[in-house]
Amino acid sequence: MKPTKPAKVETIAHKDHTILIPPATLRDRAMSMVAGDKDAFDFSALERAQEALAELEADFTGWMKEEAERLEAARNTARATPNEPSVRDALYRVAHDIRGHAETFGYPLAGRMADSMCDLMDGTDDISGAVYELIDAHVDAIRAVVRDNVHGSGDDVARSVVHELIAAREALLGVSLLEKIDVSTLP
Amino acid sequence: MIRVDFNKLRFLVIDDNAHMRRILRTLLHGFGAREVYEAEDGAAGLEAFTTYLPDIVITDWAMPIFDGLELTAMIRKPGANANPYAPIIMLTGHSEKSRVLRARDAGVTEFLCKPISAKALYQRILNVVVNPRRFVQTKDYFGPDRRRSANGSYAGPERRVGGDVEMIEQQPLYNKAREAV
Repeated sequence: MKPTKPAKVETIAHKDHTILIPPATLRDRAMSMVAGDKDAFDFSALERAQEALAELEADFTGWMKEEAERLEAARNTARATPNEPSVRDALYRVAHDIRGHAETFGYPLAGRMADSMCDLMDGTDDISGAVYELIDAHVDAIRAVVRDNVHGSGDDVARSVVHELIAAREALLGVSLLEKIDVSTLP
Repeated sequence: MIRVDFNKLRFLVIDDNAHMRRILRTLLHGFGAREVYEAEDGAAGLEAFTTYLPDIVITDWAMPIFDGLELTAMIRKPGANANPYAPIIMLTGHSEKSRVLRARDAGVTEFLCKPISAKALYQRILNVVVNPRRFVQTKDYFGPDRRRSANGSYAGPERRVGGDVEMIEQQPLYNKAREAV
């Protein structure tokens, strides 16, 4: 495939802004009509991708264990100098990865624990002392969920640990004011 | 029937997590894409963007060196590269409103919240292919027009002056792409 060349952009100038209308290059190149209902989309590609993803699932438990090990290593590195920016960022990124991946890998409760840990770290500039101890508790809880293969959201003990971690965070930093939204509803 | 041929599209995936890159590559190949380039941080992503001229960029937010937000700003900088209009799909574990709006204001085209699903990724790609967004340039913003609602019910402050307010017509295909999956 040849590299995409920049195409001509139509512009409409206004007093304080300009509207730019790039040509619909991708639509012209990749969208086509095939036999069938002219108003329907062909979703066969989506089905093939879902099957391909299902074939990866056998690896997910191993990947989750790797993520938990990375988290423990980052936590241990942060023990001496938790507020060192590079150390703190590295710890946050691993927790953030787990927040995003754990449900895909079959460990949604580990994802909720990591979400709470990210909120904790987002809520304060100083993660030493009591905050670090609570970070420690989050890391230990995530590792326990992974070690004990707590798949799904039904385990009562793990669920109660999630609630305890959130309650401890709120007791330490106050109720989170971070408003979370469903991005699919954005205009 | 409307079909999007993924084998005619070139993708760039930027994520520092190897597992997520593997998942995205698997999904894109499953959709039929053949050209999927990868980078593991924002700096390598920008270099790959310049080298491969991808049609669609899928980037994580939290990455070392510079993050997905900074990468978006660099791609959107007019005159800085060959295609500042490239659709950017921001893949993020962040769902805090302030962060999401900040990313939107940096010029991302679509959001994809983790945990990822084949359906959500497919929907976002359909959106950028079937319904390309107009862009707006002001003294402090360059990126996709953030007003893409068709109902004319924009209730925020009117920051655009100069007569006719530019409302973007929502195309019928846009609704189909969003609602069909």
